[in-house]
Amino acid sequence: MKMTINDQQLKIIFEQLGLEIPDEELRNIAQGVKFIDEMRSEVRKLKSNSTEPAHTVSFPKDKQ
Amino acid sequence: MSSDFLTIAQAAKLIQKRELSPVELVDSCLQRIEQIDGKINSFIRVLGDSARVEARKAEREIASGHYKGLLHGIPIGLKDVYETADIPTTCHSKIMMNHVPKVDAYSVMRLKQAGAIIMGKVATHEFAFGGPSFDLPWPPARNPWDISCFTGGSSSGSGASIAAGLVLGGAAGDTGGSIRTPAAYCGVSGIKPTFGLISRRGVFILAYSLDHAGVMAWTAEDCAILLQAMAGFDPEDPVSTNHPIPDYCAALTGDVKGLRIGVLRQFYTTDMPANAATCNAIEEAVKQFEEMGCSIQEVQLSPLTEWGACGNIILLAEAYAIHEANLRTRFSDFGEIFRDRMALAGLITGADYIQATRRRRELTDEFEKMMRNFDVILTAVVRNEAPKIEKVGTFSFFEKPLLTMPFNITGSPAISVCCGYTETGLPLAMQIVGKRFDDATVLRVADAYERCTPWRQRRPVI
Repeated sequence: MKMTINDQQLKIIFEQLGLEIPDEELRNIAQGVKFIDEMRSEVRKLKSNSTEPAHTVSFPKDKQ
Repeated sequence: MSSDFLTIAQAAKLIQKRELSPVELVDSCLQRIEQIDGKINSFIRVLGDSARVEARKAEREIASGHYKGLLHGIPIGLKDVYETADIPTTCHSKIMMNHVPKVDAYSVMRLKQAGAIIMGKVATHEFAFGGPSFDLPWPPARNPWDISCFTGGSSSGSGASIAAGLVLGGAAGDTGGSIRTPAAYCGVSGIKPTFGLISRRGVFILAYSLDHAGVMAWTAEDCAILLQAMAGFDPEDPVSTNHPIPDYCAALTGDVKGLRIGVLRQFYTTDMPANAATCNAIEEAVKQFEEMGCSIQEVQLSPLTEWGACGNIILLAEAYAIHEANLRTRFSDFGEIFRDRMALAGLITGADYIQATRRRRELTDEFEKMMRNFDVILTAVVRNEAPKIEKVGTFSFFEKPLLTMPFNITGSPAISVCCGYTETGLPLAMQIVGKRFDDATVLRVADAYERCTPWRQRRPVI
């Protein structure tokens, strides 16, 4: 789930979100993207069936 | 008797015996605010006139035999996210500068009913998240123990004003550590009660499922007094819990013999190592509890980074949902720290949020299973004493997982208690965490510790 994005791509994402961010500030914000990457990887680790709301779906482990 | 640096419990005793007048107490606080607050910026708005009016009213009521209880005539501060009728509630932000609510937050109404006197609205990080910031309409609060140091946040003004003796307590809020961190850095006590125990109606929240309204004061006993007034079911708050409220002050027996304490060293020695001063102070506290007759056992949980990621993803996604419209239309009206953190929050997807909530269920189950064998657990609040204020960067929030966030995820009661000082005189702290709705035991343990240690005798010299 790594977001390997450059400043230009980041600018497009923010434009799509409707955020008008000056270029200089965008470069500063880009420094923080790695932290979001790390956190989203962390929450995507394998989970038990108990975290699936209906407790019914279980993918075979080798497919995950 | 000098009314400087009284605790709520001490002042209440004097007021009840009519040895101290609420007018005298309020005047003394206002004088200290006048003398000191220019150095620590803890107040956004001082309500001197209305506080004096309320103090005179309290004095008349008490003189005529209508004493309301331990908060009657006690000066307190409100974090400026608590709505107050006809008084601006700004969230320390330009965005909200002209927001004047029509009614008080439910918990403010309860504090007033208990006779507390509102001295003013105190500083916060912008919308309880962006700080310390120097580009907002008001400067950031500074630490009374050393004004070049950070207060912690987001309840920055609460921590600073209480430590400096400008108010005797306050209402604050905690999403990932916003009560406990400033309590730790400013050397006061601060409890994040069980989720839903205090109504959030009229309190501007940061994240729907993580925000806890709570209290801060000089001692755990004072926190118990404040919590007693504020806790209780509010049918108009969807997350308020209809749970019996015990007598928190009656629980403060000073006796903790036989209690089972789990020590969660893993968080602050392996996962996110704290400095030696913090670790040593906590070890001394553990010995103290052993001497008081508690049983001590080391415990472990999933790594702190997993708790941090789970909590932060939820916090950011929920906060972004709250601020999305203003971020689109008024981006530059926010302070840079808040808006830059929120811009990153915009990168979080629906799937990220769902994965985090799924992980939250697992982590909460894990914690609750562990707690079956313990009355409380003990861990660090922060990794070190207060850093210099200019060292706190825009992404400091993301760089290292917070030691406080796990208990926002679980909704458990958790208090920060001063457990010593560094060689340079800055406060150190530990965190005591209990089972959901067992806030009374958390307060009991914290109070017993404070009673048998000397840390509450020292105050900052400003």
